[in-house]
Amino acid sequence: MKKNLYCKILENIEIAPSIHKIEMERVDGFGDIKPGQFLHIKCSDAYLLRRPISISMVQKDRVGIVVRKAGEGTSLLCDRKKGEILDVLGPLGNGFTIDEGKNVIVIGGGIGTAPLLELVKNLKEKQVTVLLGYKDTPYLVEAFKDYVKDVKVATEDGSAGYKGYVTDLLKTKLENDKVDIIYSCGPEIMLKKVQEIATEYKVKSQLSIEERMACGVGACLVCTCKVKSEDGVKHVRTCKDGPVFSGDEVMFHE
Amino acid sequence: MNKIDMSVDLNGLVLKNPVTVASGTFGFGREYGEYVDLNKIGAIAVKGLTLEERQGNPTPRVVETPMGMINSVGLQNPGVDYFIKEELPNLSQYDTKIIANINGNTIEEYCKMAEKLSKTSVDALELNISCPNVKEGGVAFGRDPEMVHKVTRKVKENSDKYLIVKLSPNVSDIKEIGVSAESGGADCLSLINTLIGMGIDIEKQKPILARGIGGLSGPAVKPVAVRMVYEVSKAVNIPIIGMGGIMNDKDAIEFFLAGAWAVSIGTANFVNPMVSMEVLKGIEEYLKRKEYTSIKELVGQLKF
Repeated sequence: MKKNLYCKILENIEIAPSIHKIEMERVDGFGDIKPGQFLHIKCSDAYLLRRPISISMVQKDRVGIVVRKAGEGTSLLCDRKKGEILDVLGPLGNGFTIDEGKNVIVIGGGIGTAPLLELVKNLKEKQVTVLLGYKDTPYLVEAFKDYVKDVKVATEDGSAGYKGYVTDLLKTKLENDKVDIIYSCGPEIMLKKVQEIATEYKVKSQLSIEERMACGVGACLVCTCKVKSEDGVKHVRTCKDGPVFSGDEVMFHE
Repeated sequence: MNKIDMSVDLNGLVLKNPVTVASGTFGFGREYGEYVDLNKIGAIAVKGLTLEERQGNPTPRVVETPMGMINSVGLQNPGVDYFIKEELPNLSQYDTKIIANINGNTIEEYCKMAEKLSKTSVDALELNISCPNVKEGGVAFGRDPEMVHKVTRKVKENSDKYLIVKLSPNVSDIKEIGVSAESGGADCLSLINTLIGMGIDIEKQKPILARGIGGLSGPAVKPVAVRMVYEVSKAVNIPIIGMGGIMNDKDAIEFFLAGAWAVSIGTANFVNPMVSMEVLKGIEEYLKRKEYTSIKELVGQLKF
């Protein structure tokens, strides 16, 4: 039977303004962890609901997440100190499926870059290009370079790498090279663009979707994602049926 | 010391213990079955059913508020036939009572669902006349005492199942609604459903929920729920299942003292999947400490 896991925080570092890397003990009960799965973490008592945070790093004895201070819950989580205990459910959801294709693009935006770090660790045998997009300050870039040589950065304000959107880099790459599959995680507006480009160039894609959640285990139906079905549209659960979906089935908001 | 009798007879529906889980917060039992032994729950009220499959409302469907959450799922469910065929056999394996929560746009729809479910192994029907997240039916029924009487009576005529009527708190006098349901033939009342609420994104100057409004639940609503259970229990002679913001055993005990015969855990399941078992254990310890021999002795014991 599954249960809450109580994990001691081993490290909590602010790696960019309002972006925290938190590593916790990998206690018994975690079992196997797939890249793209998430943890459902209790942030405080007053803000009731847990927050779904993707797993960014897995080691034998520790599990890492990267959290952006977005609201009260995530701010309280980022303020937790080394040595404190986190109440965690997980790992939850379906992660990325490692495809047969050899030529791979991994493209992330902002905090969505974090789960892709654990993914690239699992793509050792592949030809991988990593494209990372940020508004301003990049983070995790060096960590990606530990696993992949070809890492390109885009910033919207031009403070590092290419000035503009990371999806521009994706387009350039697809113009010039053969690509079998795109793995992506990031804000909806970026994922929508990735989906458009993938369709245009007829490349398979897997997209990790973000949605407000309550239960995280598939019971409450608040984190619905719209997907294509035989008779039009179907609402599936981002937490249980996702968060990773095939790019050709997801229907983004208009 | 002898074992405390936790069973409760809701005038015909016997639960082995008074801790149940609320509709919409427990799916059809599968997901939380990974965390809780379903055999140990008094009853499971399943996700609200409609005659036809419903895809529900657009997202965002949830906004968190201090000590609460507002949802606007809009009754997404696979429909009553699918439930009977695909979900009920699985749920029936467990030693727990199954409450089918039903929602109609019209009295005829409620009756059709009641007829279909009468031929199945569900133990009780819960008439939801209080969902705030659908355009038709729902809370529109639950606000009008005559309508409440009528829909209850019609469903009772079309089904031999034990009938629970779930009351909306979004009314000026909930006692009146409770009395109407009782006179219509309800065997039991459950209350409260969610309070209608709203959350606004001040940067975008737009509501956070796609549909604007939704149902507020969680500890924020508990004082309202306790008061309503207290008021209704004085006004009717049928049992009450109390719910609304129960997070722990202490919250549950307040409801028993106010007059509830059983309690239902909702939002708290999302925060702690194992909460129902913790509440049950806490109630037993309280009864022991206060030297009661059964849960029945605690019902309505508020000293005033």
